[in-house]
Amino acid sequence: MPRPPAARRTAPRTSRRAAAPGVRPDRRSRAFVITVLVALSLLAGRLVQLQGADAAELAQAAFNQRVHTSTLYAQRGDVLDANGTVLATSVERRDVVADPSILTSFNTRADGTAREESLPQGAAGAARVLAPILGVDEAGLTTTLTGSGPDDQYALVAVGITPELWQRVSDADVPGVTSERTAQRIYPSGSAASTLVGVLGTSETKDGKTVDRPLSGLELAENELLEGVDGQVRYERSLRGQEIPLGESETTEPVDGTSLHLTIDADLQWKAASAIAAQVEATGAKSGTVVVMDAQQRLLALASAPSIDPADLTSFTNEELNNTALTDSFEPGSTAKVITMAAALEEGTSTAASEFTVPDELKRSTKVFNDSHAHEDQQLTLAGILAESSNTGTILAGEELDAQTLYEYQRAFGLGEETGMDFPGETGGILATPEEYSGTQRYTVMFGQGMSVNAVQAASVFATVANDGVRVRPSLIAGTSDPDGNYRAAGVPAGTRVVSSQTAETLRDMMQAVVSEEGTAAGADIPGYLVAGKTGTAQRYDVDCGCYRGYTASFIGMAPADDPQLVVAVILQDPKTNYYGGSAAGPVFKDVAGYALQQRGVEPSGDAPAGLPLTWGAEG
Amino acid sequence: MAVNTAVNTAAGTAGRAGGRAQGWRRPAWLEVTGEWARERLRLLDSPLATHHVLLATTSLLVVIGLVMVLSSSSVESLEDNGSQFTYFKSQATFAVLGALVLVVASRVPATAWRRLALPALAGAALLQLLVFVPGIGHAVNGNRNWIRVAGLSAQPSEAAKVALVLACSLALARKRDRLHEPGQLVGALLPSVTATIGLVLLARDLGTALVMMFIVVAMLWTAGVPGRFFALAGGAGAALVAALVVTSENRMRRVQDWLTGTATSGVEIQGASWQPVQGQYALASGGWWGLGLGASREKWQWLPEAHNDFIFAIIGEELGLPGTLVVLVLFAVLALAALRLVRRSADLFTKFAVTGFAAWILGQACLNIGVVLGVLPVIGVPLPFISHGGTALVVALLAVGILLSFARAEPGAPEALRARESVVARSLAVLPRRVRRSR
Amino acid sequence: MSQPLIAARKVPARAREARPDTGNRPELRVVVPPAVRRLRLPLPVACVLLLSLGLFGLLMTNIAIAGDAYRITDLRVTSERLADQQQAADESLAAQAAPQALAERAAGLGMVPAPPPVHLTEEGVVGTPTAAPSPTAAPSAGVAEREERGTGQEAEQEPAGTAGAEQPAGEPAAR
Repeated sequence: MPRPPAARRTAPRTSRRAAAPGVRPDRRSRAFVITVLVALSLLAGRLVQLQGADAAELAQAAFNQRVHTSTLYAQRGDVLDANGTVLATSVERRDVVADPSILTSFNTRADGTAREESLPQGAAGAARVLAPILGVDEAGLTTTLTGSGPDDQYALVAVGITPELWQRVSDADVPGVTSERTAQRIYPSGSAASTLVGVLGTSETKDGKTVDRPLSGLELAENELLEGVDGQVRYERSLRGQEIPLGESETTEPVDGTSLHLTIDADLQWKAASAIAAQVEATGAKSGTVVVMDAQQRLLALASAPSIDPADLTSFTNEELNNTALTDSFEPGSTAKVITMAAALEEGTSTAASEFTVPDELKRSTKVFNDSHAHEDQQLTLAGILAESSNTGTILAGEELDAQTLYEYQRAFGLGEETGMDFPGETGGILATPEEYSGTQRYTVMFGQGMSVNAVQAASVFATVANDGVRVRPSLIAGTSDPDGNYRAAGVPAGTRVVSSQTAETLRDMMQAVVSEEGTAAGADIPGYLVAGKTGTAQRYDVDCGCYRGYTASFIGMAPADDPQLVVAVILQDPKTNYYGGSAAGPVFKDVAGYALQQRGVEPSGDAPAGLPLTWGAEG
Repeated sequence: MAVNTAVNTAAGTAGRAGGRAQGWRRPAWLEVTGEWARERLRLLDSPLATHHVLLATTSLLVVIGLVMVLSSSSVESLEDNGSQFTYFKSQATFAVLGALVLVVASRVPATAWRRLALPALAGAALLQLLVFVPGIGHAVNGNRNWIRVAGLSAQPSEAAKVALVLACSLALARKRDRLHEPGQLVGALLPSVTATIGLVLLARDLGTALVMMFIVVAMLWTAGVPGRFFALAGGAGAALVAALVVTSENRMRRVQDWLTGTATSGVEIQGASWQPVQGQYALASGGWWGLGLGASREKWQWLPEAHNDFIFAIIGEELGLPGTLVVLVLFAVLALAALRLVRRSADLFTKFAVTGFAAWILGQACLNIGVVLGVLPVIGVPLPFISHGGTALVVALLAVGILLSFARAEPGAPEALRARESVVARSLAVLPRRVRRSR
Repeated sequence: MSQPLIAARKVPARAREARPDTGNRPELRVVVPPAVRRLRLPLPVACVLLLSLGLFGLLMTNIAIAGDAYRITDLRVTSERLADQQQAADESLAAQAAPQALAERAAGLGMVPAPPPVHLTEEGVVGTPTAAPSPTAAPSAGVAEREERGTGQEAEQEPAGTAGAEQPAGEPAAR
């Protein structure tokens, strides 16, 4: 390299002269720089190792520490009544948990002194901060927060607090206090609809996830529909929890459950529930049921007593949990005479005015049948037999039909099979075929003994009559709305004609007499409306003893009789103080049906009472 | 000269290749690139080459530093200050200040530094003493090495490095011929070493003291102190460092963490080994090609001091191996430029001072990178020119300014500078003619 | 390779001999060298410039994305709080709209169930008007009963509802 002559001039002579022999700064300097370069090369080699060769494993470890998975909770579908009133909904709640091992150093600096002089250190300090927010006793909270000692890492502080309260706890910024999200099912209508809507019980672990197990009612029946599918989000996050926007992220959106819209009217349901609960208490009955449906058999209320309080699931009996309108079958008794009458009218063996001489006792097969009240021989029309609820009269009219024909009518009215509502625990009752009849059963089925039905089936028979003889399957669910709010109406079940509309009308006219002064249920009369109905006072088959014990008192009716809008069935099982259908169940019918007619704005009856003759001959 | 040889070889190879492959025509781009490279290498023949290389390398490092400080501090800055640019702005301000300092220092005549050495030492010692004055001195991360006056804070130990280099150079240049006498050697170095390293050690700033010791050792080596002294001093130094490490629980833990190796599970990496492990996570996440500028994951609070002592890890994560290797190459170029400056300067003071500054910057760089790569225990020194830190940046640029001032005194450089001034004056006349020709 | 040879064969001999003259045409020589020379300097510089610009753009984009991530998080938190408030309001509404709650409240206000209505029809008045029964429980007793029977949820909801109403006004100030 060409060196300009100026170089020698600028170099100070003194320094050059002073150079130690054998040691030259330039060589030493070169050795130094070479050392540095070697060091840099070694670092470069290490870099290649770290960033290239060994990178995968470390990068995975780094990713693992950043990645965070959390559950996106799906909302369980609501249960709503026909007007959109909430019967069941899910709300978010928080369980507050604390880590006592962290709380021991609350309000404490590294040197052991308190950060804030006025506040106690450790768990006691945390308790003083949190107790007023949670509204609990400070001493008790201190015990909770202390846990079993400094190694304890889990203490349950509060269960099911609202998100807003949790926000206040969170804002207090106590380290080691966190929350776990839970969902709580609330039932605003309380015990009035609890047996129908059902309850969501305590949580259980399914597929590694904690889910609430439905115990009864629609919650159980429609669980698959109501239940949502939880989603999941997986993302890389910062040390303080912020999502890193450029990181990998994977989201499975939660799918909320579908909401159920029922045909039920919450107000009517409440009215029915409180009326039957009061009557169960008043009569000392074992249980009671009210079914309200319209002529198209859309259930408007389905109440049973006793019923479970959904807010308190600590203890309950099966009777309280189940909706006895569907889960209990009973021998319907006289209300089933309507089927026998319908068959007799439809088959033409009798008319409403057909004249019968009805004895007090009647021997058929091996047994002597008698009426509930002892009486002289009566000259009753078919309408009179129904109004007086004469067993012997019903046998006289019914035995004109062969057993198979009657059986077919009973089936056509929906007896002997489940209602098709898929309600959990529903029983379809027992209806023997004529081949299976034992002894006197051919005759007992005519007046509703030796067979069993549930309350909805019983009401369904009357609704068929109310609907001019066309039977529609009972329905409870009006439609569903998906998570996006799209409503889908449930299909309308097709109707099947059971009897002619003429027969149905005649039956309604005959049943009007039941609530007349001469009938068995004068107390079920509703001023302004014509009511058609039938009482039932049946011997009750008790499963506990396997014998007949006590009675089933019932009244099933429709109003207004000239243009039936509503069918109400009231059934009391084993009432102690008053077991006659007319006087035990009738007032409940009057109460509920009266309320329903008023609430639904049903016009009062325009027609005059049918006034069919009940007797014939001299007295008539 | 090595550079010349390289140019000749390249030209020779090109010539042979041209002669051998008669049927094969070199593609135009290769020829253009070769020509371009040859032209650039020819520039090294210039007397101002050292000056230009130093300036260019430093500028590149500072620019890389600014960009990386912006990238690595943006998240932390947003969380701490609500703006992503707070740390970057302060760094940029200091970079501008440092550039001014560099320009001024480079214009100072090379001979003046000799006279400034002792005042600088006195000043640095005074500043360093301020650290111990209550109300002015402050401790950050356990090291009491900050002074804060009127809202401005600074690390006087950084300034002490400049004073140390200048004072030691002066002493070594003066006692040049008696350096083999231990008494003389100690006597020559005692004042400057006590005033700087001693005070820094009193402030318990081991990292800076280590860098300073390395500076002194490098200067002594260049000055020609006999090799046996280094063996002795090396032993003594090792003993001293060992003693310092053993006496401090904090340092002990760092060394233990370093020796026991890298823990890879999230549970294990608590405490002191957290930072180096996160640093290596960052490098590994970057891999060969990096995640892209600004796309670091570790800067999201996982890696503490991401914009400071561990910024190299973020460079590796965002820019990959090319990014980290470029930084290493730039420091290597600085080392080569310093060597060239040493060899082309005739003045002994200059030689020693250049060695000192080079040892400072390169030693600190190697320490910092070594820590990040997990080959050294956590020492806590920033990466020169790149890490966030105002004082360090300004003082490092001052050091480069002094180097430039020496480079401008290289043989032939003053003449070349004068000639360039006239070239600049003429260029206005030249420019229109070139423009015309290219049309 | 073969293409030029074929082309050469096809060219008539006369034309081949004439070529050296045409090779001296000025256009062929002058145009090529400046094109190469013009490429020389700008190419590396342009590459570096482009790379720097790209990197800078990338950095600023990433910084903007990071800033947005925080804003998104803030908004998500706000949204969650609002959702909580909405849920609390819905819950409170459902609890108050429930028939038994309405009945209790009505009883608390001294209201009684209506007696059977009297209908005015084409045939005249149907039914006998009856006076509403006097409330069995005094209004104050009804209220007391309701508050006593009110579940913990209901008791909590009322303060929560007021807090919710205040929050939108208070929130911007807190931020």
